[in-house]
Amino acid sequence: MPLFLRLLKHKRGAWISFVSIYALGLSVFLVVNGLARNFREEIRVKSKELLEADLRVQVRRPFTGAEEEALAKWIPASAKKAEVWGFLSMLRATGITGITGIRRTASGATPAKDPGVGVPGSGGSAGASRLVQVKAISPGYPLVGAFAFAGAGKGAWSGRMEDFRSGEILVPRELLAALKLSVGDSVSLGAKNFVIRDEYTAKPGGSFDFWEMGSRVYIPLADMPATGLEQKGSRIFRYRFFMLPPGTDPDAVRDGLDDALSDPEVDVSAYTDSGSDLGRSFNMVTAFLKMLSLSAFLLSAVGAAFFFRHHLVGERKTVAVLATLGASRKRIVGIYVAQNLFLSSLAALLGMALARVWSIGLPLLIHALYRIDIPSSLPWATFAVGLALAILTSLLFGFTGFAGLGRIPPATLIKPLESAPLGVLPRIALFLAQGAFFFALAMADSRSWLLSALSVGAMGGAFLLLGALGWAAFRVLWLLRSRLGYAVRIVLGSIRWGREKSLLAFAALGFVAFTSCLVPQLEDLILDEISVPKGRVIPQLFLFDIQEEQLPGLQALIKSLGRSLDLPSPMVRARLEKVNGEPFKRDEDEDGKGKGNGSVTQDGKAAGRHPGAEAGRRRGRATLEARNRQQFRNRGFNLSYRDTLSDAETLVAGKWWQGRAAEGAIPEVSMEKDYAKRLRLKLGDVLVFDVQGVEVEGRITSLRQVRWASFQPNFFVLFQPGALDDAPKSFLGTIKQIPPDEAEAVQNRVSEAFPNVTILNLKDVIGKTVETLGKLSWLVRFLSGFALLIGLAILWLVVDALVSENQRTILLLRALGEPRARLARLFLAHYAGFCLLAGVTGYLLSLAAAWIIDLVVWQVPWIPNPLIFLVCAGASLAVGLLCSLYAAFRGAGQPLRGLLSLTRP
Amino acid sequence: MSIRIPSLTYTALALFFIAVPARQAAQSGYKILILGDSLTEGLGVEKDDAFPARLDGKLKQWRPGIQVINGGSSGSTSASGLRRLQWYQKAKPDLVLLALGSNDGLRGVKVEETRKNVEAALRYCREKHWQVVLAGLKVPPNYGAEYASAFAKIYPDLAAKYKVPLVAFLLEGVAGEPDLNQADGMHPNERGHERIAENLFRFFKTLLADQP
Repeated sequence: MPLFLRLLKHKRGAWISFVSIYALGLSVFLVVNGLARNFREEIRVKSKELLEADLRVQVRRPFTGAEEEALAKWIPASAKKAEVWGFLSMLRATGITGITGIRRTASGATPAKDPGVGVPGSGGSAGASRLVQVKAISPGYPLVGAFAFAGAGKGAWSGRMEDFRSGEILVPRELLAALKLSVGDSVSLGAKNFVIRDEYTAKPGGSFDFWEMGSRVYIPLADMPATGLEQKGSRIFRYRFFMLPPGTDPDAVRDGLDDALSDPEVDVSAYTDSGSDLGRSFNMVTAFLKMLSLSAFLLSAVGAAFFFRHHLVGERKTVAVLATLGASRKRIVGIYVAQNLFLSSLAALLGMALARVWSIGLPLLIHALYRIDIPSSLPWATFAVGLALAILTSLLFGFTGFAGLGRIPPATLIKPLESAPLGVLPRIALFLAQGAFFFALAMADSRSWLLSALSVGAMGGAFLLLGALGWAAFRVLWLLRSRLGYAVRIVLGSIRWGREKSLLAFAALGFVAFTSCLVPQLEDLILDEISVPKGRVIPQLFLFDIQEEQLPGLQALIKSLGRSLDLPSPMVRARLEKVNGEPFKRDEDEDGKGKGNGSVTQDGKAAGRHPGAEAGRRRGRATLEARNRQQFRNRGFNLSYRDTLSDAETLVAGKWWQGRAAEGAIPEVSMEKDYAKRLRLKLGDVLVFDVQGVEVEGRITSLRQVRWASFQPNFFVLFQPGALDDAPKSFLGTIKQIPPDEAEAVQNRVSEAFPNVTILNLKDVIGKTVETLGKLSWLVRFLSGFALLIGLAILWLVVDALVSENQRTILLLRALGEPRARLARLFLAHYAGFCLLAGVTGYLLSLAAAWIIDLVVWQVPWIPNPLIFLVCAGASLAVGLLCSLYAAFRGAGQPLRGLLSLTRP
Repeated sequence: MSIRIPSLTYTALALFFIAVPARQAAQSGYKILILGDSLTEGLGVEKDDAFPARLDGKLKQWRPGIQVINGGSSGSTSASGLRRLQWYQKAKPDLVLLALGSNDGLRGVKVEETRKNVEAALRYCREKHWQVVLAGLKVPPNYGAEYASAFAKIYPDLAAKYKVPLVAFLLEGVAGEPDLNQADGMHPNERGHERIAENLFRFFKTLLADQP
């Protein structure tokens, strides 16, 4: 057996601790990264489904010859293609034709007296019409996703799109119900009659534009000329969908087309652009998981380094013996490097095996608990990275110890080494090298300078501060030692003898507390951003343009249908005229992002029509964005007013108003904080709005953070009640999740009674978003808890190692006649103080880190959660006391003869 | 009596059907309120570029005493017309140009409903002794000829019934012209607003010509 292994033989405790801690941390790093990658892949697939292709080009007019040429140039010939025209139109029920001899109602049942053959005008409410969203589709559609049909396989209809023919139309169930139609009946669009081929129960795509109101129906693109709906002035969107051949970069094709298609009205999207509804939430979760996995790994690396350094300090006499026996310093260092390599490789293998087990087990567990599916595969590349990372990190963290080995003199055999074998400057250099290594790791993972600098800076800073604080606390106690009892002095002496290890242990304990407290704070923030609050039912139906006088009647109608109109919110249209007495104008800088997220020029002069149009990486996109920005910039405001904040809002600056605006006083205004920042508005600013011809003043007295994913009416600008009560307004409202049949009934009844009220059913869109956010929430919760368990395990092992270290002191005190009970109290105080000081410091540092990360990285207000404060502080206290009790009783319970077998290192 | 007016000329024949005597247009503070939606509000353009502001400038050059009030509200349908007129009572308009209903058409609201709402607004104006002008609106051809023609008919029918002047089509020469509209193809750009303002200026110049 090689010498390096033989030397490990009697240090079983140390290497088991090293391997187990390191393997645990590494496994968390691998599994969290792997799951995040799988989730990203799932989002990618979902994004393709949302876009219905790899690439989509759309324009609200026919493509020109030049555009066709550009498409032919940039889209590979082998790409799969489909074309769709989309527009709104009025669909009219005309009667029964009975092409298939099968006539089914919306519920799928065949009517009892079904004539089966055409009896014009007898089907449903012939003559009734309804606004629909028409999709005229080419053969080959859909490229991604699929339809599901209620009548597929029944009769001659296979349900395959190849069998969808000219003169046929596909409709959703709610349309059949609304017009009292059945499959097989006839409807008309423009000048063309169509027979309802089937009722679809699922459709491709999932994105939603506000203009797409009305039920979606599908007709063959070849039937468009016969409808006569394409004329001058028709608003018809042309969509081209492309599935690119494997290996083609959709972003590159999109960018090429952007450059080639000079008209900004032509929009080119790759699937990588879609899914932006979840963009912010997903980016936050990804950043959090990266931090989590890196923290877990760094935590375990610090823990493992602690044990290895602890092991090396314990090996100083062995090193001295080897040196006395003539072993060269190079050989001695080689022995311990080999030990480190062996142990880190072992830990890496174990960690990878654990990661594999967890990558299979965790998704199963999550599925069993929450019915959420998370892909379980871990790519082999992850394992290769894990192995390399484990060995490199271990060597780097052990380097201080290795470098010191060569400086241990043989005299250490008879006189213990009092000073650290390595000087301060080399140690600082090594510390910086370790920081640089983790920075590079963070950069490779996050590709963000800011995120990497903050992650490594926060952790490195925490470690340094903890070390400095521990040292300062010890120095104070050491100076006061003459006033303390002899037992305390002996404890202090014991710490002083092993001050390097004690300091390391203090820093390690504090770091565990720091990480363990930071994770739940960030997790809390993320969950607050992405999850649906408990008890809130997500709305399904959104009602717009409810007139004030219609509100009571509408509420009564919905109540009679067994539902309620929730959150009816007044909406008043206005334009911002003046800020602090100066005319308001806003312009943007050339990169299109605005001067510091927006700028206000109050000189009353326009700063140019399309300032962003000349700049930007790609002309076409920049110009379109510039136009969009202009539209955003110049549109008015939708104001609202209410007494209280909603549960989707948090006040981040100023104060909320009390009661109604006083007569003659300037009413108070609350603004959404990001919007205020973009417009460069601040607390105290006095705004003048033109509320449809009448000037209304308001003073900004508060800024709000709004959770936009709350699926409820939210507004950028809120007024104190009283100021806008008489202003012309309409109301918005929502109706919670209801079964499909009921939703159809509610929609139909509302439309009949209040024809101007637009009612949108966003079940599909919201359902998909909520499902994905739900997955993200549980992923965050589960993996945070998992990482915390690892942190606790490391904490326990560090304390256990400290206790072992102080056994000699305990036994010496007992030999000097110290009673066991008093010893237990003494060491209880010692360890409790040690753990609590480290824990509380770590916790306070975690507050600072959470504050910085929230404000700088996520740009959200940092609001400490009292519950997390109590849990973290309580956990620090409980773990510290438990460890102390364990240490005190274990130490005090040792037989005295143990003193003979223990020697000071 | 039918008063279907050729859309290109904005003829002044409508003058003869003004039911309510107007204040003298030259008099200081003669107010024209244009009650409409995003087309009137000027969605996507500066307030000064929206057609009410441009019309205001043109009319002021012609007769300095005239003032045009922009009563546009994006997203509004004809259902809000009556309530909004009540709000504008404070502004004491002398003449109201009703340009209501384009959002009704785009949302497929029943034609009868739009007719009822516009009619209610029109009657309210008459009760208040405000001079009224109706602006005709249309839906794009993709909504189908049947709905489009029924919708377009609302305005001449009401103008005839209440004997008020009619601007046959507010977006005459602008709708469907890519150069005069924004990227959404629906809202006029600065040039489009200028065209509308020019059309309306000619209309009002004729309408108010014989008033001292």
